[in-house]
Amino acid sequence: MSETGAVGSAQPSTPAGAEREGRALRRLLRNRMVLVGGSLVLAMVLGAVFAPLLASHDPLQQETANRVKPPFWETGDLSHPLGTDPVGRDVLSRVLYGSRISLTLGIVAVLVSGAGGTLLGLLAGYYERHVGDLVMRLADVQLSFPVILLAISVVAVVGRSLPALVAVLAISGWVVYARTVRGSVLSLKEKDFIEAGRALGSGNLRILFRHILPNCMAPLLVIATVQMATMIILESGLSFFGLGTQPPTPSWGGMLAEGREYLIAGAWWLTAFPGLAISITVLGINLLGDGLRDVLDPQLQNY
Amino acid sequence: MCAAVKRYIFRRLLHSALTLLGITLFTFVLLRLVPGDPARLILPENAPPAEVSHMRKLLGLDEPLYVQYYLYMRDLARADFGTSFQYSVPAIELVLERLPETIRLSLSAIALTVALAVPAGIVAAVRRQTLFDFGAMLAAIFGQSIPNFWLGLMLILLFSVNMHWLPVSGASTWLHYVLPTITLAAYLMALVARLTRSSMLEVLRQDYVRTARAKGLAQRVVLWRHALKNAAIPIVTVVGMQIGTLLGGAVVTETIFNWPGIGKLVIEAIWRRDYPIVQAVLLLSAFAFVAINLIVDLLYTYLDPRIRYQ
Repeated sequence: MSETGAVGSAQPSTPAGAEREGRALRRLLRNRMVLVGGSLVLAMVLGAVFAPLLASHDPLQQETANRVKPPFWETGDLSHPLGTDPVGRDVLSRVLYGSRISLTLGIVAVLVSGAGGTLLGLLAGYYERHVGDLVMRLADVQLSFPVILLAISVVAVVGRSLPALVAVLAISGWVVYARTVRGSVLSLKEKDFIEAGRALGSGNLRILFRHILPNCMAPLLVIATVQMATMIILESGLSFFGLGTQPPTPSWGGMLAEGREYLIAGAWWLTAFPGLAISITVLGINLLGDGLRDVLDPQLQNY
Repeated sequence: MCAAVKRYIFRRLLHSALTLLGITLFTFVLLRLVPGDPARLILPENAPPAEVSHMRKLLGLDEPLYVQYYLYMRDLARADFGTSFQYSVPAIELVLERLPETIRLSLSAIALTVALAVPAGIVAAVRRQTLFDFGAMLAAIFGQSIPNFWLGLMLILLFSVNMHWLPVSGASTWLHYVLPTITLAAYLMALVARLTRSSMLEVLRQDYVRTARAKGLAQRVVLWRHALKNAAIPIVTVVGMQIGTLLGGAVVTETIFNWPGIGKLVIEAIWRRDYPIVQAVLLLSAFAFVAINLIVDLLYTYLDPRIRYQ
């Protein structure tokens, strides 16, 4: 959807001090996808941060008198707005708290895989022959396994600890960064300003991190956003298969897995709401990512 | 065939071989990470120590790692992926028995994608900035955002539990294919629709399309013969790269709909710690990915001579 971005009127030219960032920011704010996506993501983040204030119940508190209660519009009772689960826990409170796991793991996984992938991509592009070949072959190997199958197998084998989950998510995500950064480095390192930097006596490290890396930031930001969505889906997928964080900590994927058994019996709210929360979060992130791509890096293809 | 093409094909073959080697190394290491002794996993729990050490010897576990890897590769070369702990038959037999069901499901998903997503992408590109374009792209971004495991459950809720139109699980009649196919195809359709649109927009701008139009060719001919043919390359590349996603999606879909394919088999095997099956499925799916992408790449050198020189 690369043309849906702002076509709006030209802004009056700003004083000479105004920076490129200022213009990029304004274009971002004029992009509708960024606004809608950003608002959805912001709402989810606020929900996660302020879950203790927003939730009407303790997400772990079991009310035996109130088991499998439907949402308020079917009962008229507002004490459990989105109903309760088979042990009488409040679904809305669990969805709110569940966002914490998904968002935290998503952010950590993106940071770890982004840092690792970027570093490997920088090295692969700069030291084209040996490191480059090795990294690209590793990427080929990683890409040839279906992500969810790989993640499930690894977690099943090494056990489902939090570090193991982050590691699995990071291993599944690094390739996109590495490939993109490598591509950028390959074209950047032939440019004159790199030559100039070298002539002025910059070492390899300085050239890589001070001259080349900043020029890769736009595509990296776009990829990191899109990857965040992938990581959240992957994390809930793992939880759905019972390989996520340990119960009773509420997580969206875990709630789906638990609720699945009651779907046929008609307790639809147990699966509908956590799934809706995942979808809205991912939709917001995808919209944000598309908007960012339009504004920052129109050349970048879909990933 | 000129030297450059030969060099390109040779390099692609070499890369594929290296990738396959890496894949075997990875699964080998992964299986060594399994906590506990494989010999004890095979034997009954109260087996005497002598029997355990005999089994270790039988499995080659008393050899150094590089010898174990050699033995492992020798077995793989004979298509011996080990014996299922649970069923006591070769893992490969179980996988091959279930494979057709997974292939049938995947092919229906691909067929649905080609039948719906490609035309939708073309129409969206041709009628750019119209209600259809907007609606199709909105649907696509929703399709990319809804996790398939939730989509499957909601489809069951709507069409099986509430309306009683379609069966909840199984694979016996064509009605059983409807929901799993939609679940598996949703992400791919969204991706292909968006890609077809952007790829067509790119191609429709080209001079040869203008030339074709100027010659007075019908819109239909211009679109299908001239534009789509050229727009197809990026679409096919990405779809080739999505084989893994499709297989991963099959794992999810088969679990939800109780579909008797390799996805369901591998999930059950993971729960029962039946590692030979897990290994066989991982290796076969990775091999399939490498093979399909190799074929796709080599086909390009035939379709588009410019690609030979990268």
